[in-house]
Amino acid sequence: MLENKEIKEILKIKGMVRGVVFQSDAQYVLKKEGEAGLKKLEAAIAKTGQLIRYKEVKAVSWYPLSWRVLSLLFIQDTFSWDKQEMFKMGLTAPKFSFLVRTLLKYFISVKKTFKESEKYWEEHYSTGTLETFKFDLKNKYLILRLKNFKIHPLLCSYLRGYFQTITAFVIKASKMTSEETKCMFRGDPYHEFVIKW
Amino acid sequence: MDLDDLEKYIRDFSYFLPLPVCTLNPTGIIIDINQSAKELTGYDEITLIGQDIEFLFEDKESAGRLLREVLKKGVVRNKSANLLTSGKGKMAVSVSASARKDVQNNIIGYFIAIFNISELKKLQEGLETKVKVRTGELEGSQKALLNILEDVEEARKGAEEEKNKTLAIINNFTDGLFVFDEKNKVLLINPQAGDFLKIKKEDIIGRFFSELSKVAALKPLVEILGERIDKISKKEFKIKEDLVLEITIAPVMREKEKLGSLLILHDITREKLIEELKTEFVSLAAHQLRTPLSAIKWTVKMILEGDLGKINKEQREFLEGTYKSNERMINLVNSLLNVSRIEEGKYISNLVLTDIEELVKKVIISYKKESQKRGTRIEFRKPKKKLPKIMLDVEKMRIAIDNLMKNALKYTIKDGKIIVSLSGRKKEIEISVKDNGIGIPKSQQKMIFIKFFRGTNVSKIDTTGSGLGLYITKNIINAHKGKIRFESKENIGTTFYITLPIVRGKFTEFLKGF
Repeated sequence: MLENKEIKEILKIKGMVRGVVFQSDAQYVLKKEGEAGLKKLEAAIAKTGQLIRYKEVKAVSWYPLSWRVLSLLFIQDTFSWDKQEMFKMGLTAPKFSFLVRTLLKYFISVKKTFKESEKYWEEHYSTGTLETFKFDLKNKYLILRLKNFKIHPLLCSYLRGYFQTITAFVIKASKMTSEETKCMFRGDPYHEFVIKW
Repeated sequence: MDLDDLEKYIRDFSYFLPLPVCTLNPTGIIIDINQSAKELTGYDEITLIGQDIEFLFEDKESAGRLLREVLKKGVVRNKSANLLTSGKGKMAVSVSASARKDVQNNIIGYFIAIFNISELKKLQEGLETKVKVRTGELEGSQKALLNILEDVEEARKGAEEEKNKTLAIINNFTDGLFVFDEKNKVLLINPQAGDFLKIKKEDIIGRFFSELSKVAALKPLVEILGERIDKISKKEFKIKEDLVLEITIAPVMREKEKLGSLLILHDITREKLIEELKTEFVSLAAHQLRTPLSAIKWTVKMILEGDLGKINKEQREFLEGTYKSNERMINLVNSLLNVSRIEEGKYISNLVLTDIEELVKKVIISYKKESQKRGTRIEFRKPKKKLPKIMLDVEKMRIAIDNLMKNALKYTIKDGKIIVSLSGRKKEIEISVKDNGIGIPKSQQKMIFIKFFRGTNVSKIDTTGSGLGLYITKNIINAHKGKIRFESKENIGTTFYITLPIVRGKFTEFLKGF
């Protein structure tokens, strides 16, 4: 159970996020826990005086970034999901995302596609920057760096899954793995995600 | 319109769109599917998005080929494929694809529309099967029909060939032929018939037999044949001095069905001429032989009666033998002369009203001595009432009855009994001569009236017979418009029956026949 103090701290987080992320959350909860699960989640959030009505969220409207953290935390708390489940949630999120389908551009050149990923981040978050630090087709790996985005450690697992799926959308591979090699919550200057296939 | 409205519009539209659509990135990875695609494939977004499009198709390489074709052409429509669904197995689909481009005209992926044609395919396959089966049936029927037509054509050719052969035979036949159908209408006549009768086939074909008398050249022929040609008959027809035809009518039968009749005109002119010459020769020879035989007869008789002096016993025996042989020779010559006259048609000449009973009695009496000598009893059964007199050539009728009596006596060996009966009916008189002699073998009964024929059993008993007696008798009876028949069983006996017509008041008509 999240404490009010913690919630208040989270609400202090600045920045905005597109509503699509909440839609993705809701889709995943619906898949895993059904309609009752979603209602349970909304009720749990409402108890704290906050109000996230997932079905009313508009995909491209901007919402407080703090809600992003709260949504994930309440999901984890309500359903007692661990980090691995949060990672899985991140893995499936792009599959429900209207923005991924419409705003993320795919090109015949994979390299060019990843160059566009910075713009894609900007379409979702008003803070932080995503950089394709290295893209090695020959050795089959990709290094993404997320800078200026020290929001909440829970997002790290989620985003790792998210970036892995985005990479899978571009790279054809039978097996793909991901790892957060650097984390701002571990004292690193940025988050670094290495995705291999 | 803001982005939210746009997003909602796209989401609603995508949800509503009944056509299953997948959005692919340029490498063929599925990045979006609509509701219809989920329903069609049975997969949700989690499973399907991120998969290579080939995941959905049975022929994995076909997906790659499709995208390459889209890259070339921009759009590819209605490619048949088999979709691998979740839960519904393999599904026949039609796939259309187009390239997806950004505003700078860069290819940023593909849209793939998948249309379920499994029902259509089933229908099509069903139709194809039906068409195939029907085509097969039709081909079979066509083949069977062609075979039948070939058989019919072959049969037609065969029939045509047979017809031509038959026509060739008919046309080249030395006999003249008329072919009538079952209604006695002339179907064809051959050239020989035309030559014999001096007629053209065009004038005859198609006419009924009854109409042929209207053709002058055929009138005598129709008169000879009478009104009907449906009975087997054989007649002679003298067209002119140097042409005599034997006319035969025979039915044309197929099993028991009568198809028509055949009238055959056979030229017997030569045979008739030979017969006439033979008869003339026999007549001439018999006449020439009779004079010396008569002289011998009277000379031997004079010697035997002692007119030329006394002769001893041995001389008498030799002369008696000579006399008997000479008598037999005279009888034979007389018979030959009778045959010649019969064949010349000059045999019956002196018809008078005769009491047949008296005539029969006389013949019986003439055999009294001979029968006593042989131990054969002769019984005469008279008619119950007096018979009318009839027109007869007495001399010839006596020969006829005499021949029957002679045979009866000669071929009845011991305990013989001959019954001669005379009876009268309304229109005819019947004379019968019954014996209990050796009889006529069954196999030879048909030939008994043929000139010079002698039964094998009689030849053993008597070697002196000429085989002319019954021939002469039959001709005499026929000449009197009578009939002769017999019943016989070997070793039991024979009965000959003669029937003669009673003619009252139509002498002139009757005489026409002689």
